[in-house]
Amino acid sequence: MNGHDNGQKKVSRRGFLKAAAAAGAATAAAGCGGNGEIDFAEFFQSHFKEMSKDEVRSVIKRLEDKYSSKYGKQFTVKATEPMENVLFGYALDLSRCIGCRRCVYACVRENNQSRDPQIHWITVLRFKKGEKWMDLEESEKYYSPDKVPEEGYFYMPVQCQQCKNPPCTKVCPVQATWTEPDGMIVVDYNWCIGCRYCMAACPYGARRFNLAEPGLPKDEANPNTHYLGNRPRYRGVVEKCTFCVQRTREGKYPACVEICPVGARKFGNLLDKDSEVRYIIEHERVFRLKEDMNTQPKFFYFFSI
Amino acid sequence: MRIFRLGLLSGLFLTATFSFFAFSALATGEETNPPQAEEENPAKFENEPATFIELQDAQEAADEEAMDDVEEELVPIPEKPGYYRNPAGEIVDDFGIIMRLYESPNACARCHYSKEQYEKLVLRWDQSKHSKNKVTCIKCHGGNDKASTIAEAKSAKTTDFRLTKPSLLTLHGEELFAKAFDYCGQCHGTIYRDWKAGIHGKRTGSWNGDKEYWVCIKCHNPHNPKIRQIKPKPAPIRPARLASKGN
Ligand code: SF4
Repeated sequence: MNGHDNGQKKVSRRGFLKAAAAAGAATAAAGCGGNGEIDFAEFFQSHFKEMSKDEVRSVIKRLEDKYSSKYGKQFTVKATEPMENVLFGYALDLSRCIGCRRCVYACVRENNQSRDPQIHWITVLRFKKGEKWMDLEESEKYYSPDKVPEEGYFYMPVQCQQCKNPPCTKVCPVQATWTEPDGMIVVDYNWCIGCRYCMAACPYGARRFNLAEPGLPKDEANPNTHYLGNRPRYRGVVEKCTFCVQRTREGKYPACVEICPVGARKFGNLLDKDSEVRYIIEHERVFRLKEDMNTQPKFFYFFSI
Repeated sequence: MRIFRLGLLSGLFLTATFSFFAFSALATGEETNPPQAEEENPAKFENEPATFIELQDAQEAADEEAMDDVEEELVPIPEKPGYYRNPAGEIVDDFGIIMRLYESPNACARCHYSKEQYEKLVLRWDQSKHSKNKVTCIKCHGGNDKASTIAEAKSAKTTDFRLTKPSLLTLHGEELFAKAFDYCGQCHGTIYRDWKAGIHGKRTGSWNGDKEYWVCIKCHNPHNPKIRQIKPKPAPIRPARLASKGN
C-alpha cells in the first residue's frame, strides 16, 4: 500500500468525507490484507444514485466482466429501474407455513449468498402454540425435527421487513443503503464500508455481514443479477433481502414465493387495489412484527385460520 | 476496493479523524477469460419436485420403506368371517379398512379392485377426514354403490347426495385437474373463496401478469387432502461453528 492521496475529485463528490479531507491525514488504511486487486475504476466509482446512465453502464460492464471471469459463466448485472406506481408488499400466512425452510435455501440459491461461511437472509423461527403472545426470545431457530410441521408449534419466517420508516438507512454514515421508489431497501455493495451500524439499528436482525470472503461455488452462482440485489458480494459488506429485486422488477415473484410448497407467501403491489396483498390486508387481521418500533414494515403476517 | 473499504472502517471505529488513504495504482492482474455460454434460467430450483403432492408422496414412500417390516396384527373375528380386529380394536376387513356404515368404497371395490387402487386410493382415503365425514367414492366420482349390475352402477341414480358438477367418471387427466376447484369448492366454500382471492393456495409466475393458480389437487391429494409432514431443510449452522475463513 503506497500512499497516494486520492485528490480533489473524490472530496468534492462525497460531502461526507470533506471533513476527512480537511483533516488531510493520510493515516493509511492500516491492517488490511487483501490480495492486491485494486481496481482504479472501482475505487473511484460514484454513489449509485449519483451516477449518470453512462457511468452505470460502464460500472455494470466492468462488474459483468469481473464476475464472468471469476465464476466462469456469462453474468448479467442489471440496473432495472423501479416501475411506476409500484410499492411492493409482502404477506405471510402463519397458519399455513410448515417451517420446511425451503424458502431459506431457494433464497440462498437465487441471491448468491455465501455458502461457507453460511449466510441466510431468511430465518424461520419456531414458536410454541398457545402462548398469550409471541415472545421472540422464546423462539427457536435451530429446530430440526424429522418432520414438519410438528404438533403444537407454529413457524414464522423472518426476513427484511422493508420498512417504510427504516432505522437502518438512517444510521448509515455513507448512505450506502437507501429506500428505492418501489419500496425496496437496497445496499450498494461498492459503497458499503462495513461499519455494521445498520445491523445494530435493524430491530429484525435482517441484515447479514460478510465477515469472510463469501464462499460462492462457481457452479452454484446465479448469473442473472441486479446491481442492487443478488450480484456476488465482497468481504466486509452488509447484505439483506431485497424482495429479489432482480426478479420482481421484471414482474416475477420472489424466489421464496415460488418455492413455498404450501403457498404461505404472498407478494404484490400495495398500490394496486386488486392485488393479493391488498386483499389480504383488507380482509385478514394482519399484523406487523414489532409494530411498536414504528418501523412500519411492508411485510404483513396473518393467521388465515 | 477492499483496502478502501476497510480503511474507512477502521477510521470510523477507531478515531474521530477520518482518514484518507491510499491505494496502490497497481494494475489489476485480472485475466479475462472469454465468458462461457450461459444456460437458460439457472436459478430454477433443481431437485425440487414440481408439485407439493410429489414432495409429499416421495416422503411417504420413504417412510413406507422404513416401516416395511412393521405389519399390523389383524385378529380374525370368528362370528364375522372376512373381518378382523386391528390392534386398536376396530373392526376392519382384510385390507385393513375400518368398517363403517356406508357402502362405498367396499361396494365399489367389488369391481374396482386392484392392489394399486386399494393401496393408493382406498387405504389413503380411509385415514382421511373425508372418510370420517362419510365423503365416499360416489360423492365425487358419482355412480351408484347400491347397484347390482354394471350399467346400473354407472347410472347416476342414487338416493345419496352428490356433487352437482358432472361426475368425475366422465372427466379425466388435464380436464379433471384444471377443474378440481369446481368439485372441492362445493363443500369447502370459504376456502374456495379465499383461493379465488389469493389468500389460500399458491400462485406462481408474475405478480403483475400471467400467473399460474395452483388448483386444489396440486397440493392436496384428494384421497387424503391433509397436508402431510415433510422433512425440513437443515437448520442454519450455529455461529460458534461458522467456518472462519479469510485472510
Ligand atoms: S417454504 Fe413456505 S412453508 Fe416452508 S418455511 Fe418457508 S414459508 Fe414456511
